[in-house]
Amino acid sequence: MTLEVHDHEFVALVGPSGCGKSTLLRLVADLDTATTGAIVVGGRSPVDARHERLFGVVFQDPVLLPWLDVLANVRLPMEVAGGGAAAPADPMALIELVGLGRFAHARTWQLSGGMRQRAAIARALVLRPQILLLDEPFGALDEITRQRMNLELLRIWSERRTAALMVTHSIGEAVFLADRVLVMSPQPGRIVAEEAVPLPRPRAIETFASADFLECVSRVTRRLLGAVEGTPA
Amino acid sequence: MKGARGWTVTLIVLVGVVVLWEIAERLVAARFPLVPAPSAIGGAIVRFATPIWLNLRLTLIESALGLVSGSLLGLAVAAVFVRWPRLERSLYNLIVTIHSIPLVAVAPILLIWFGVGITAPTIVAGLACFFPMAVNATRGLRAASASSLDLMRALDASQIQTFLRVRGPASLPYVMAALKLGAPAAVLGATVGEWLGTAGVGYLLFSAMVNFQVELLWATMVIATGVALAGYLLFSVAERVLVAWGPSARGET
Repeated sequence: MTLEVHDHEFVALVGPSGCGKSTLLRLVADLDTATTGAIVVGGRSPVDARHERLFGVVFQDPVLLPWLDVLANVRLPMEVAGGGAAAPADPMALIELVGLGRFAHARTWQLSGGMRQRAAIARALVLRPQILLLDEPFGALDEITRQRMNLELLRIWSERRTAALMVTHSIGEAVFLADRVLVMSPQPGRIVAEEAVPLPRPRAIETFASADFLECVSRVTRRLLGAVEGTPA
Repeated sequence: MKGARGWTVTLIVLVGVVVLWEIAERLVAARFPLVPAPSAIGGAIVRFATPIWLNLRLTLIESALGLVSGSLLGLAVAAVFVRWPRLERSLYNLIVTIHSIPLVAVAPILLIWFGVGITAPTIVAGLACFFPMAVNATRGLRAASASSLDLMRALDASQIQTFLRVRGPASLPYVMAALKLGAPAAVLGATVGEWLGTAGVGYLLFSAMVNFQVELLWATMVIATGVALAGYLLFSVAERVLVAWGPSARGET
């Protein structure tokens, strides 16, 4: 399969559970190693990209370290990188950006699920990555929080202008956020369709009601249903 | 808060028992000379303060040395087990076997090896807290979640960084639990190790028994209990401070 993410582009990867979309993201992040094929991140192999800290990852579970406060969690990549970090962002400014300004010194386990994920996003951005890898970051949140976080993510992403590759099983989420939506099929996992999302930016809550949005969602839905045809639900 | 209330209840029950005991003693005193009244035990503590303190001091030193060495050894074994899981599979049963040796049987053997002195009780104390540390620390060093290890890998952290920032802190609740178990166990171990010796709380208990000094026997027991309890409390407080993020500090246990 071939998959490309351009600079400043937001690409969403949708597919049913078990199609390997998270695995694909883990390969890009060099958390797993591919047996065949080539992955190029910023002109480098995933290993080199990881060493050079070209990407930031947001997992489904926010993975905040409970013995650190919010600020220390956001600073963690800087601490680990030591002098290796080229020009880290101001962690406090990032915490403000994700809307946690008042909670910089809060204990992470005192935060709500959405707030934890905000902190995780700030942490992923602190080393100014070229690409943000998001593995169903809002999958564990309730629907309302999820919608709010999607709006927040768009705002943060448009301010930071990194590229983004997001894995999700929500079609609406994918269409709302992305410039392009890639549809994956299960068994074997491959990208079977690509849909450009012609919705103008900035997108807002009204986007959900626009005819273009609904049209795009139904196109992706048809592709996705076509991809899983023949496999039992 | 829950902990404080728990201790208040404990204290009230304890005071109640002591008062009832005292009253019972006053009513039927002369008939049970083998069970001294609380006031008599208190009197004995004051009367024998010097010998109790001199022996207790030795026991405290042995307990502390044993706790430190036994726990360090337990930590080292845990680190080896986590680094080389194959060794754990082959050596775990050996550790359990060592733990199953009755400490009262170990004490005379060590006494023959090392003679009378500080060595044998210290080793018995160390043995008593080795096992809880080895078991707990092995679990603790594996307690870091897979996702937090993924995170450290994504951040290109070295093994040492991952240990210092994730594995180590994640193991702390387990290590503190082992120390809470280990502190009273060390006092018990040292006392058992002194049983056949010439000094220490264990010796004092033994000599009080053979000399039929019932009040001294009880007084020593009360003091030894207090010391073991103090050790537990010390590490409980340390846990609350060091593991402020942990389940016990959050009131989940």
